[in-house]
Amino acid sequence: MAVAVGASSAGLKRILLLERHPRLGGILNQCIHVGFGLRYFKEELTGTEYASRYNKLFQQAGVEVQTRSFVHKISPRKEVTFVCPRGEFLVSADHIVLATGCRERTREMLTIPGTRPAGIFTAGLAQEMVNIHGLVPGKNVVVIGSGDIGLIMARRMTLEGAKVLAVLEILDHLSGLVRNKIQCLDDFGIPLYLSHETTQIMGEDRVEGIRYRDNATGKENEMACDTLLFSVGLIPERDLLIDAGVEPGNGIHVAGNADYVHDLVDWVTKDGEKLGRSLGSGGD
Amino acid sequence: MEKQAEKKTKRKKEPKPLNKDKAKRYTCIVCPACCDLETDGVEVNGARCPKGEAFAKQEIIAPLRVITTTVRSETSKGVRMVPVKTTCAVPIALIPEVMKQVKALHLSEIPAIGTMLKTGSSSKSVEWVVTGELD
Repeated sequence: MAVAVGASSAGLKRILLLERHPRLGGILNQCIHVGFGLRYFKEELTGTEYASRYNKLFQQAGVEVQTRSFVHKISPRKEVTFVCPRGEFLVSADHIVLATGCRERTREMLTIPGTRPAGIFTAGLAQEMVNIHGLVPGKNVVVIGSGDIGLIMARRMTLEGAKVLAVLEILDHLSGLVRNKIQCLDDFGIPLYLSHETTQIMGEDRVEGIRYRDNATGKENEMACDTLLFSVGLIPERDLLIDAGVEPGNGIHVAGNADYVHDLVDWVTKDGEKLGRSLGSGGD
Repeated sequence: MEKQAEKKTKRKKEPKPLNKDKAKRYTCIVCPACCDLETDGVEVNGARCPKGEAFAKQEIIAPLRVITTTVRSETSKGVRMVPVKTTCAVPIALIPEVMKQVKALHLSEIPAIGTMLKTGSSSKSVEWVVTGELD
């Protein structure tokens, strides 16, 4: 959205925005917590409010939007192939901007031994389950990794009646923002264990517990739980470029969290608008 | 060079004297700058803005937080979770009571963003505002 707003303000006329979901806004639509917009709108908003407010600005830009449209191919000749309820289409463009955000790192991307029972989620998936679908994925929860989404979900699961036993972080420092540790963990008495490595996941059908090691002392221990939430990093989503064997440049651009992981959506917006303006003024 | 150094020391505020028996340290959560604050309830050191000073003075009396959650709505199109936040920050100690109230609330339509909702009885009621647009 931000790139389109920037490009439109710089005079670019023919802009098409493709979104695979029915609604614009991306991950903001499941971020019901406050902490957004202080830099861009000078006001503290929830993620959903930020999306709604920015959408109003976006609507004024008069950009053509195709929702429920899944891009499955980009070619080096700058052609985009997408499927939508009306069929499959191919469009060609002078500029293609990937604003595809990030994916979460999963348990499979770490090397944690153990079984593969039910009850293992990424924090963002749990967030979607709770906030969009109203499903709380467990009762006794351990959060692995201290990224912001993990901290936010520790609080969210607590508010929904689950018991969050601990947040385990393999590093000797917090990954997320300090303010999130205070208002999501400290306010609810949830312990944060730094330099703690998860060494095994246990359970047959459902998660029954984990083994973990305090890397500072070498001491190992077990903790019983039925749910694990992983908040262990984000990976910019650029599979479309990788599949096409294309590097950014020559009219192919990457914006927002697909470019690099931003702490604040406000910076994502500002970066996107800046990139958009450079396209509108004839930059590469 | 000397002049620059002089400017820098001038810009940095002298810490105000605090009542050491009452003084407590906090990390400000108003914005992502996360200032390190120290306050005795009267004076505040370390805040880069007035919001941080107000935060520290409130934090030492009774910490307040805006609560965000969802309200279940059974609409003709299916179940929707309506995102809401409290219109005022509430004391941390009251969070379980506030959550109990909002969990008892059930809707049958999708309210527009900005719609006000009320939970609880008149003496302990909490006001909420809808924060999202749903289809």
